[in-house]
Formats: sequence, structure tokens, C-alpha cells
Amino acid sequence: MAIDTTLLLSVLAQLASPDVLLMLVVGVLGGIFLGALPGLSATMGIALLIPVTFGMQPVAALVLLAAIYASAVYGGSITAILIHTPGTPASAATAIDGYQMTLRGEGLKALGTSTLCSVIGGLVSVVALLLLAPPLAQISLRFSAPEYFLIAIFGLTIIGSLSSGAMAKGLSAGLLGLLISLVGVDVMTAYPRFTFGVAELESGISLIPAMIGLFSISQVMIQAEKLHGANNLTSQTPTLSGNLFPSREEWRKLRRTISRSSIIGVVVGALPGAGGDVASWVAYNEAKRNAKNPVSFGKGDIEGLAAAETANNAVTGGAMIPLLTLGIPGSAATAVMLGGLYIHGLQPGHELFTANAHIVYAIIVGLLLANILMGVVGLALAKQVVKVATVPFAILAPIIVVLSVVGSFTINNSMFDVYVMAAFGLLGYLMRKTDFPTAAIVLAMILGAMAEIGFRQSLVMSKGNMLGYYFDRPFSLLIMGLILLALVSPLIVRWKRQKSQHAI
Amino acid sequence: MKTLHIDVVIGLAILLFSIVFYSLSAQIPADPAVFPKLILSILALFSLLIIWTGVSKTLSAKKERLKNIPIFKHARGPAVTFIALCVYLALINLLGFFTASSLAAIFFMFYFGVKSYIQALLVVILMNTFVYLLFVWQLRISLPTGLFI
Repeated sequence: MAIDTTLLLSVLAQLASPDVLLMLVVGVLGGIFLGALPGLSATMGIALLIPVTFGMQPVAALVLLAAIYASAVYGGSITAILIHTPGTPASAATAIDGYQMTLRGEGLKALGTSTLCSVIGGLVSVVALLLLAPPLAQISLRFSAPEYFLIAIFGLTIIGSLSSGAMAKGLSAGLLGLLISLVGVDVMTAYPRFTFGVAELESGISLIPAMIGLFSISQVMIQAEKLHGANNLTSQTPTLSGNLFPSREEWRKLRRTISRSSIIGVVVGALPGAGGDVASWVAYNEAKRNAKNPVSFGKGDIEGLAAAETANNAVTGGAMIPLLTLGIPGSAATAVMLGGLYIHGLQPGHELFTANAHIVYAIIVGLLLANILMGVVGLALAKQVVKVATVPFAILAPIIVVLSVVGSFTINNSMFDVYVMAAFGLLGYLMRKTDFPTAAIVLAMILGAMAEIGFRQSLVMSKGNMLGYYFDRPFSLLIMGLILLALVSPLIVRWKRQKSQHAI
Repeated sequence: MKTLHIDVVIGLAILLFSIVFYSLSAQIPADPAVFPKLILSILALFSLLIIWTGVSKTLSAKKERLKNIPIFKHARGPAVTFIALCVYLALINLLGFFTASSLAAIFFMFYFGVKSYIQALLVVILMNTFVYLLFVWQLRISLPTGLFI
């Protein structure tokens, strides 16, 4: 591949300017901070900062937003690991094994592994963004309504198959999430559905307040159980000693998981609509499927943590591929970033890579630098960050509640969103108590609109023969195969396990 | 009811929910009602599966004479937390965000076991300062006001 020296020099000159460097540092620190605080997410941070970037140069502004995006995904894992409160939906899978490691006294190692895996995932994704954007964009160009619908269904079946032993509950939670995503004015006919005359419901139920309620408030309620139960709150304070890095043997074991999860993250990220949350679940599922001891997953397995962490950061670069080439956001955060591009007069597509190449490549290289800086800052601050976990929950509880309220309010400057957050907090608590995966609702809310539009458009396009239409499309067939695999593989694995137990 | 597995109750609740919302979908014009009806039909099927699983769990527990462990045994703490959250949200419009948040934070801290007044006061001051600097000063969000700020 020929390198345009003039372009390269122009990119480097822009990145070396003090305001861009300052925004890079602010973005990384701010992103980790935003992601780590329960209730604050990358999407929210980007949305809140877009108005702040109005007066900046496009490169400085977009490097800031990209750095926040990458670092917040990583920062969200810190609270997921330490206090079982994922800062972002992408960290929901991280919380499973990360928190178990913390409870086992390996919180420091979980943080170190998370940092390294996030950096590797992020760097692989940026390299992929630089090299693979054109061919992947070609594939995305062939995607139509049926494929979008099937991608959404694939994401939901992954969640269902992850709810071990309770697939019906996992899929039911997904369906409930899809139903919640339908609340509001129908995008195709403008007819209000399930709004019950409430004007605020016409624009739908906001994802971020729902997510804050499901993850943060439900966590406070779960912790409150220990006030009158057998366990004392103070006994939950994790022991944070030992090594920051995984041992050489563990590292050897992780190499394959990291490689696989990086690829999953980039590919899922590049698929429109499927973001870090989907990628981390897919990678987690794959790591579990390929593990020698899948039973240890969910009980503090370092492979589970590495898979989720690598994949959710590998999504950042991957999600930028459809965003920059087609203007289709790969995740909720990149959807908000699309707004940032437009505000700075940048139109995604072919022109962005030709006429505005000096800007777009500066943003991409800026994202690469942000990932490196994120690792350095993460490792340097890991020991300080873990102090968050030594703060008694009695101190954290009011902070989580107040930040959840202010975070939900900030989305639309509306108290209605705060009430939504509280309602979802109760729902999240009840779901967690009855073994329904809360992440399935969040994922379905993200994928809901894409699933419905894809379904209804393909219904029209198929002219009555929907099945035949789907089977005629190679990409649809491929995704349908993946869905079937996600549904059937847990059953086969269980059957095989039972068979081998009987044999013994 | 005591001997029934919780899944039976949840399954029945989901089934009832599906039926109610399916009947509500019937009032929506055909085109925008297609997808909700499809989802609710599948949800109803899954609810039957959850009921069936719950029934088999109940039967096997009876067979093995296992005691039914109530899931919501320690629900007092979460219930108080949720009620306090609702009261806090109601107070925001009445007293203003910062006043209501300070009162809520003090309540939560003492309820969750903080014993030192100085520690509680310090947390309230730091928390309010942080929220003010980030959201009001930096991001220019106008947080709700009431009788106070």
C-alpha cells in the first residue's frame, strides 16, 4: 500500500498541535472518569461534550470525542469489576467474571488484565479501521432490510443462549426489551404506540436512564438486602492485593482468546447497529464455548474477563468503519459521534476519505494514540482507582443514587427520564432476583428499532413470500445459520455433558 | 402458593402481560401493530415454557422434600431504598436538586451504616461541589430548582 507522504506529514502536524494533544489527554482522562462513574456512559459523555466542541477545530473536537469513546468503554469496566456496576452496557459481560475475581481477592489482577486487553483490542481495531475499511464497507453496502433484522435477532439470541439453564428467561427479557423499544411514535407511520396519552412517552423510552436504573439502582437495592440479611455490607469490601498483571502461564492461555475476541470486536463493531455490548457477549460466549473448563465461566474466569474486555474495545475502531464510510453508526456512542461529524461540516462517505483525508486520518491516528495513552494512564492509576472499591458502600450508595438522578436528568433535561430510571431500577432488581438477564433488555432496546424497521421493510420487499426471500439472500442465510448455531449450541453442549456424565 | 416455584408466578405474570398488551395492540392500525403482535405472541409462548419449567421445579422439590427458600426474604432494605428514592425524586421539584440530594445522601449514608456526622457532611459537600462544577458550571445544565436550589 502506497503511503501519501504529504498526507502523513499533514496528519502528524495536526496531531502535534498543542490543542489536539491537550484534547487527547482530556479525552482519555475524562473518558476513563466518565466510564468509571456509575450512571455516566461514553454515549452520554459524547452527547454532553458535543456542544462544548462547537468552537474547536474539527480534528481537536473529534479526537476529543473519539478518545472519550474509547476510554469510557475501558473506564466502564473499572466499576463493573470492582462494584458490579457496569459504567457502560459494553461492560455488562465484564462484570460477570471481573466482579467474581474481585470477590476472590484478585481485583487488581482483573483491572490489569482489563487494561491490557482493552489496549490490545483498541489497537487492533484502529489498525483494522485503517486497513479494512474499504472491503468491509463493500460488504455493508450489500446489507439490506432482511440482514439488519437478522443481525438484531442474532444479538438477542446470543443473550438468550448466555442465560445458562434459563434460555426462555433470557429470550423473554430480550422480547420485553424489544417491546419497550416500540413505545413511542412509530417511525414509519408516526402512530403513537403504548404511550397511554403521556406526551413524554411519544419520543420513546430513553436508553440511558433505563440502563442506569437497570444496572446502578438495582445494584444499590441488591446491596441494601445485606442490611437485614446474614451478610454484612462491610464484608463485601474486596481484598485488593497481589499482582497487577496475569502470570506468564495465564497470559499464554489468554493469547488465543484475545486474538479471537479482537476479531469478533472489529467485525461486530463494523456491523451497523451492533456495538460493544453485542461484541462483548459474542466474544464471551465464544470464549466459554472454546474453553477447556466452561463451568468456571461466571465464577471469576480470567478468560471470560479478557474476552469481554478485548472485544468491547475492539468495537471502537470497528464501529467507526460504517460510521466514516457509510454514515451508519455501529453503536449508540458512534450514533452520537455522527452528530459531531455533521456539526463540524464533515459528511461521511467517499469524500471524507478524499477531500477531507487529512482530517479523517488525523482522527483515526488520534484514536490509535488515545488507546496507547489509555493503557499508560490505566496502568499508572490502576492502584489508585482500586481505592474506589475500599470506600464503604454506605458512602458509595448516595453517590450512585445522586449521579444516577443527575445523569438521567441530563439526557433530555427532563424529570420524566429520572422517573423512568427509578422504574427501571425496580424492574432491574426484580429481574436480578428471579434470574432474568438485565443486559438482554438493554441490548433489545438498542436493537429494537433496527429489528422492527428491518422486519417491516423486508415484509414489503418480499411481496408475501418472506421465507423464500430470506433464503434467496446469501448474507441472510449466513446470519440465519449463526442464529441457529447460537440457539442450538447450548442445548447440544448440555446434551453432550449429560451424556458424558452418564458414561462415567 | 407457598409451595409453588417463583417461576410459575413469573410465567403467569408474563402471560397476563402478553395478553393485556396484545389486546392493546388490537387498537393500533394494522401496519404498526404487526411487530408488537409478533413479539407478544412469542413472549406468550416463552411464558408457557417458564410456567412449565416452574411446575417441574415445584414437583421435583416436592419429591425431594426440599424447603422452598423465599427469594425476597431480605426485601426490607431494597424496599426502603426504593421508597426513599421515590421520596427523593418528589422532593427535587419541591426543594430543588441540591437540597433534596443533600437530604437524600444523608439519609442513605446513615441508613447504610455511616456513623460519623463529619464524614457524612464531607461527602455531601464534595458530592454537591462535583455535581455543580461538572454539570452546572462546565456543561451548563440547569438542574431543577424548588423552594431552594
